[in-house]
Amino acid sequence: MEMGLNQVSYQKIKDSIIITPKESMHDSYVQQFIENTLNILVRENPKIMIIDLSHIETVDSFMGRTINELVKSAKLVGVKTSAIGIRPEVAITLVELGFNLLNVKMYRTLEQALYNQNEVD
Amino acid sequence: MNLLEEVPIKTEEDIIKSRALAREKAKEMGFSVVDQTRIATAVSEIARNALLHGLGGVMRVVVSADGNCIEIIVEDKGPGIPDIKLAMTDGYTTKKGMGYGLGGASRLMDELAIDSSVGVGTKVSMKKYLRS
Amino acid sequence: MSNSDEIRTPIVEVWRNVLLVSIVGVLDTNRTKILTERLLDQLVEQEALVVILDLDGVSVMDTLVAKHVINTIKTIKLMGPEVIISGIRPDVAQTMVSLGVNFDVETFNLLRRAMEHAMNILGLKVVSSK
Repeated sequence: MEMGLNQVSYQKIKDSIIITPKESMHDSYVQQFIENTLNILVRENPKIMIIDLSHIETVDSFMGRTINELVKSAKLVGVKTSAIGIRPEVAITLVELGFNLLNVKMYRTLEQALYNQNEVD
Repeated sequence: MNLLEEVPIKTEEDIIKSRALAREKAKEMGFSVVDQTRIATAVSEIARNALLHGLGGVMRVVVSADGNCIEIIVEDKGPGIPDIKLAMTDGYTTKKGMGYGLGGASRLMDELAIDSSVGVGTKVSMKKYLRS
Repeated sequence: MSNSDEIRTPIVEVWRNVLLVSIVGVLDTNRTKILTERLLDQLVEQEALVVILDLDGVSVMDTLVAKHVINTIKTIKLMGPEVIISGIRPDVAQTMVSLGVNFDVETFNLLRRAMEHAMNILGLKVVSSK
């Protein structure tokens, strides 16, 4: 089941919500994106939120901060976060950039993220 | 023969466009996917600087004559950077956001040079060479 | 150049989903970049769930080398796998402590202990067949 809600594309699978952020997200959209996502989380009450990064080619410090903000906000409404599908070149670049992504449990595939739901802190 | 492309940086969309252009050029030149991503990310950081701190500017992509080097120049007519050394320190920030991104961009690129005068503007020039 | 690097830093699949990376010699910025790219390619191809970084061949540990190791660990973790370190020499251990370096991962002296831990992580047990 997939629904769009003002810029946020998400999917509900079992006890989790999968969020697929768009790479072209702007400064002006970020607050809206986070707000919409939080509304979804509060309404659907998942155990975890899974952020799908598989379509993202570039993660700069702005995108990184956005992800961190989303993770922190989700935690405040009681939802833990994991992420899937980060591309190798993005992982390499992010570390070289010196940006620190919050300690979010990372998985290669959705299956792994769903299977390990209880391991996320 | 140098190839020259110029993109204005006036809006958020322009940041996305600039880095897409830089990535495309890098790909054409034969840079690896990892290097393409390093370049795109560095451009994103510096272009965002120009937009947020520099009141907007332009980006230019230059390919060297031998096709081995990509140079990206981002120029603005903003307030300038009073202390460049400080600005290069990770975590330094004036407005919202963590740092100028200059430190990060200089790690991602092979060369990075900043020319900045208070009250005049800032010009950042970055280069990456194709690895043999 | 890449040939000699592959010889100096073998990446071996020692068990299904377990990669062993043996770093030998001096780790500089360039070697680290090359190693990381190779490692991530292997990691994806072998669907690694655990990566053991063996540092027995690392003779020099200073702040720079430590930073390269830390960055490598961070990059691997971003891709998903657990990271285990083995083979830190006594003198290297002392240097690390005096420099205040912390790798923040499980560390074992013996490779076989690191392997046991990898098995644990995967929920596997070695039992006698006799």
